[in-house]
Amino acid sequence: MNRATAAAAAPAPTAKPVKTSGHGGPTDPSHDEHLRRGIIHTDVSRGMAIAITSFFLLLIFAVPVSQAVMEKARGEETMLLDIFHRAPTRDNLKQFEDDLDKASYAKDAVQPRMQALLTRLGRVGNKKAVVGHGGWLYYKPGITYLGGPGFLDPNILAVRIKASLDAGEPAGHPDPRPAIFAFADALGKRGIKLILFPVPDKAMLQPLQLHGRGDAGRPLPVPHNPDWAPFVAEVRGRGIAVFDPGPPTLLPGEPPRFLVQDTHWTPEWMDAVARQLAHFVIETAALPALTTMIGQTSPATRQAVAMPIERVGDIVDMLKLPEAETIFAPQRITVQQVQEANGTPWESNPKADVLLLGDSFTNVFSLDSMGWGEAAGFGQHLSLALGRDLDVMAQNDSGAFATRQALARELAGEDRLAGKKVVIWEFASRELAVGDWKPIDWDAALAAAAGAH
Amino acid sequence: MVFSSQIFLFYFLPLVLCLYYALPFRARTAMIALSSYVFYGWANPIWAVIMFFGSSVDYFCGLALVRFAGLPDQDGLPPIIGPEIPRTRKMRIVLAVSIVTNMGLLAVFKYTGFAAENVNALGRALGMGHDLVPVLHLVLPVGISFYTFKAMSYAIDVYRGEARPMRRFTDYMCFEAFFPDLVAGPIIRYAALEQQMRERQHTWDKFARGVAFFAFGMGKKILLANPMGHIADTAFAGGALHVGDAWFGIFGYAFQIYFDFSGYSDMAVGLALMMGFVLIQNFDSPYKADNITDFWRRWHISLSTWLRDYLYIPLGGNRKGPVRTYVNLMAVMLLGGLWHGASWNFIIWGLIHGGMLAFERAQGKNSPYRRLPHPVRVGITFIVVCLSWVFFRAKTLGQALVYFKSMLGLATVTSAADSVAGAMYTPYHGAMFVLCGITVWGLPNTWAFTNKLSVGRSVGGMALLALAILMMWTQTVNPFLYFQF
Repeated sequence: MNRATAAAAAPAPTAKPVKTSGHGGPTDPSHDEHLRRGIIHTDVSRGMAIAITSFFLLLIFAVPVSQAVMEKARGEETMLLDIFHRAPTRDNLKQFEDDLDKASYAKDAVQPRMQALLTRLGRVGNKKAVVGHGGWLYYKPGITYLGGPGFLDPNILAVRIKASLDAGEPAGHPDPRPAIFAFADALGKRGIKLILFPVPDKAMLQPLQLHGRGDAGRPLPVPHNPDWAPFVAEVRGRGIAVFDPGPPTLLPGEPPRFLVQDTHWTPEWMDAVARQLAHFVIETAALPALTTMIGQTSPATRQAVAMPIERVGDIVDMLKLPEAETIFAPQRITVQQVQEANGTPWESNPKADVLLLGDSFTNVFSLDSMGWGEAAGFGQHLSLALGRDLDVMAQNDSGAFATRQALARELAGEDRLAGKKVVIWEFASRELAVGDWKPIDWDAALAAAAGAH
Repeated sequence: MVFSSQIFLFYFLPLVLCLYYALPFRARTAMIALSSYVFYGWANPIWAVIMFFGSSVDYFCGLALVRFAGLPDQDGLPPIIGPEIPRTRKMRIVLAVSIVTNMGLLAVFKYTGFAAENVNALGRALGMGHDLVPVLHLVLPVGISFYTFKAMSYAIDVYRGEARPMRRFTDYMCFEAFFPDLVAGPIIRYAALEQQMRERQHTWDKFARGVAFFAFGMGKKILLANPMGHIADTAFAGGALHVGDAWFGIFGYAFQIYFDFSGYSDMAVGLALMMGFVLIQNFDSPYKADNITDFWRRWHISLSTWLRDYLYIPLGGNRKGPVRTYVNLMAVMLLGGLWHGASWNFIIWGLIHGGMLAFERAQGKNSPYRRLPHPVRVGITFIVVCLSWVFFRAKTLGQALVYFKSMLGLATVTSAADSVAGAMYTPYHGAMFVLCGITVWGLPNTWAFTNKLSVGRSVGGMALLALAILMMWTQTVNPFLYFQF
């Protein structure tokens, strides 16, 4: 076959010879010789070529050299030698690269300032944070849940499994239903009622500050993921109670339900939700009269004490801005700390007949390290509204499995479900679309609990 | 390792350049081979072992071809197997071994899962209640599609007498594992590099041009592709969207994939130049194309020429009549689609392009389309390319169809879609979107732009590089899109 002829008659790439300027362009036959011999023509003066080369070398050497100088000056050991102390496995190499990134003085100096500039001038967030209007910040996975496709769509579930496998991770369990049903069944065997409480996302209840679309003077429907309604119907169809505190519409002039720069709710709305949930619990589960319970303290003597708190929200932390940055002013709120009659903060009671499994929504005003006060959280206010003690197990993040897993582990040593009538399972609704709903061997856990009992 | 990462830019690259210029010429090739394996194995050392296996087979196949040709060395070099030498059965077997090894690697890691899923789906459609075959899910080694195609070109070029094989194992390792183009191309054919492996010049202007390529490539990736990726990722993570948002999202993806991939190619060309190698041009302002045929002359040129030379022409090209030509075009583009990924979306993407190539060829040079003003034709071509990108970007066929409905205003859109828009539109991303448009349609491509490095262009290029590095630190590591293929 005559290749030159064949090439000229070939499809798209050869139908018309590509016009080139002799600088080693596309693989047109006329350039093969130049290409084979590694010739490239550049119109540049020798001085400029040396200047460009020098600048480049200076740039790429400056960072490691300055890093070494800084480490020497501060008496730190260089990170670089770590590479020789670890086996060259995928995880070790990834860890080394991450550590190198974290230890970088250049990155430390540049990243917060550049982020501040971009956020101030262009409303730029990052992988986790979305910058809305008027200083409002949003957590991106919440938006992914709300605006994304139905979280029960079999194709979407398959895509999520494949994404985990492609990343070299275990397949994961994207479908929330098996985990929820199994948990409800396990609790049912112990005569315990499960109440599911997916907390609505900030983007659902503060939508105008996110997208700026729509008329702020008119009622707005609360948006939902397309599979929310079918999910709730299916779960309720299995006899599991679902508590949804979201209003049907958002009315003009309503106070915000979420903190401006934080993923979590305001203390006021949290308190209102706690009271709604208390009614729901009483309606849903026939709880015994308080006087018949053993080990209960006297809830009637508890009081809520107002405490002002001021800080920027957790989404500002995610943006990693300079510490002195003033783009986002701290938000001042008042939390209501729940105290016993003697002034000591409220404490969870493992013997209570209601167990609350929660995530950071439960913790936000009760876990001191979250910066919004302590003993003023959802558990405390739910306890106050129920007028009885409450057992609380809460862990930030991974609401899809963290507390279930913790409960199952605890059952091996102590029967945390003993005497329980109701388990309230609170988690962020975004978990329905992004969470890993790991299965738990409840038969084994309950058997272990029986043994412990 | 990713070019636009701290580990590559400030540790790997300075070390490699130091070693390269400190070593004598013959040792440089071995050093590049070794550093390329470190570069590749960084993400997963097992992948380097897989590549080493494939490379070893190809290397010995090259030597075997020469041995079976029975030719003596020419001027101390392995001989070229000229057209006068009959290709024996043994030589054909050796060629087949190389091709089967490479295609086998590709098939095992890329296509077995897809094939098994479809067999099972067929079984279910026929009423079988269980899976017929187990679905293995193997993690796809990064860049396997690129280096297997490159490796196949070695055995084929040697067999065809278009290049001489390599005697030194490290030379061959250097060719196949060459880190600048290893994981996302350009797909360098062996014939184009063979002579450069033995002799190449190192000059100030070559290095400076390399720096300029790298600077513009880095700028494309960090300053344009990644912000456009934010738009596209947000849009495609959504369900049904408003019409304008859907179009904004797909235009964002069109810009993202162009700047991401051409940025990578520029950086690869630049890095190679710094070590004296000249690679081929992979992009020639593809969105300035005024028809799909023209688009494929400008987009991923190394792949389209590979498919032309090693697939389309062996299939008969256009030498067997119009119908066969159309079939060949469709077949080549379908396989080109499958090369990108094992899914029906890529097959449909390939068929759209194959269909358009066949349609345009059938229309001939006097079609009414060609009488339209040039900007209109460019616009129409861009829209067609964008429509095909929907299949390329969507994760499932269902998602692609929902996205199409959104673009046409036929989707059932709720107020939840506004939240997607809220995450998509920011002043910064809007400004970058406009800048992408200006760059795509108003500026020359990198090859033409860096051909003359005036003071202004040089200063601009270096400023761009510095800005890109500053911006790199604000972004989490964002791998190049073509790493997944």
